[in-house]
Amino acid sequence: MLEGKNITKIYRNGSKLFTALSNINFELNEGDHLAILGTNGSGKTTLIKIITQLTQPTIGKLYFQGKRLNPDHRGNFGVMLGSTLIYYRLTVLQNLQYYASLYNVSNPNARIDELLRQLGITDKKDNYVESLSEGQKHKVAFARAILHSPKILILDEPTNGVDPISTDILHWHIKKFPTLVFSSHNLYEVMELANKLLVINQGHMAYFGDIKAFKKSKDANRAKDELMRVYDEK
Amino acid sequence: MNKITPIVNQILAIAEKDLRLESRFIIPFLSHLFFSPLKTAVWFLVVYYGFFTAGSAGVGSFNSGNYFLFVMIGSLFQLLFTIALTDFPSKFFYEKFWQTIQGFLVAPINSMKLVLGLGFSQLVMASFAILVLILIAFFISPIPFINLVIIVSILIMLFLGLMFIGLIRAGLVLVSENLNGVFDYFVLGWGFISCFYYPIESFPRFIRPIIFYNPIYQAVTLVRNLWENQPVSSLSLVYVLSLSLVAILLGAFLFKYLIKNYEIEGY
Repeated sequence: MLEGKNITKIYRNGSKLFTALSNINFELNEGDHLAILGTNGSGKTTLIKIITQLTQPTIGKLYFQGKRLNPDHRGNFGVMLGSTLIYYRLTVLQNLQYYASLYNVSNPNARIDELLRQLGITDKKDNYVESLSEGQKHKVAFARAILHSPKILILDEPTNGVDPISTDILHWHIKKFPTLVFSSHNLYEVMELANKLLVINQGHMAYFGDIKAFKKSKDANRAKDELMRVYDEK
Repeated sequence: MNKITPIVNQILAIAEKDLRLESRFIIPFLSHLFFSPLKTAVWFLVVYYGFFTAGSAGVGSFNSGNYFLFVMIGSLFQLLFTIALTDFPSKFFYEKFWQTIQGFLVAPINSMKLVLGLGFSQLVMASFAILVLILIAFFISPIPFINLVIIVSILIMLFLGLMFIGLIRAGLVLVSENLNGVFDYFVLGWGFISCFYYPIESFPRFIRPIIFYNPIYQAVTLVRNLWENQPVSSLSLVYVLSLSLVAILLGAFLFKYLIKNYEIEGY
């Protein structure tokens, strides 16, 4: 369904070059829940930006349903980048109505009501987003991402900064989604949501494959040790 | 028809969202609606009134008999110029720091819908000032309906062209704030040689050829001549319309190029 081949991203800062991603390969089939795992600065968000076409790879190609990924495919993706992409100066309803029109959602008001009810924020419908808690903002951002029933859901650190109760609610909804890609530096989140794993370490692909195989492999311990070492240092 | 409805809905959604954001705080919104667009015209009218009541003869064809109409039409153009090249790109600045600009970039919309949506909302906001300027001009010098239709067509086409130049600036706002700073001076200089409020004869002779080839000067002169029932040059009309079309194509291409090839700066 979605395939990345030799994805490399090099940033230029003056005369210096910085390789954010090097030779990343992955494949996502229908029904896959792919987690991109890595520490802060490992290149997870860069890869998410490339998949969502917010930036272009320096080298490498992406394919969606066998065709080169292009702007015409945007409507097939649901994107959530933390609690961004929503207007804090608009109400929850105004935000969702706006995006429903951009994505040409049919019967938008019924869809919005359904999502708000499922996420438990119906009573916040007419509140300005700026007045919501971080967890509620994430729920609005999540509703925005799945409003148009996308074929693939793409999430960048979906529960970063969210309290445990809201995290559980978001996880419950994310798990229900058929096909998704998400980035996280949280091992427990990855284990709970994913069936496929891409581990990135300093821009390099450390592992790609089935999560069950990863759990049993030596790579798993190495990746865990490396993550734990970085967390300890921080 | 079924293909057009979703496109219209997307454009109207962009316009509606923009108007909601603009009207969130009512006092600056009302000031933007009623006072800001007309204040420059009032300044110039006060100065010219002083000159002409003191017995000044005027410059070129600009005189005590037509200065009011001259300023009204100039204001109309300056309003559209400011909307397209300053107000419209500044929206991208806000969207960038609200971190909502990616919402545009990941959605199935293109630059034409963006320009039409934001352009429409800006025109709605400026509609009061536009109406006031046109009504005053019409009251001073009534014109045949056909002239009014031609004038409005020129204004729409020029506005679209300017919006796409504004889109290039919007691209620079996102990817290079330094280059956007350079664009600031370009806009300033362009406005200066567009003769919104003063005649070309106010400038030294060596600058006049540059002004003459400025499409905005040509457009504003065309409209002034149409309004005063003076002969108009069809070459000027073709020049203005074809450059507006070039600006639309160039703006759409450069915006896409900037977004595709450069990173959003400032995060």
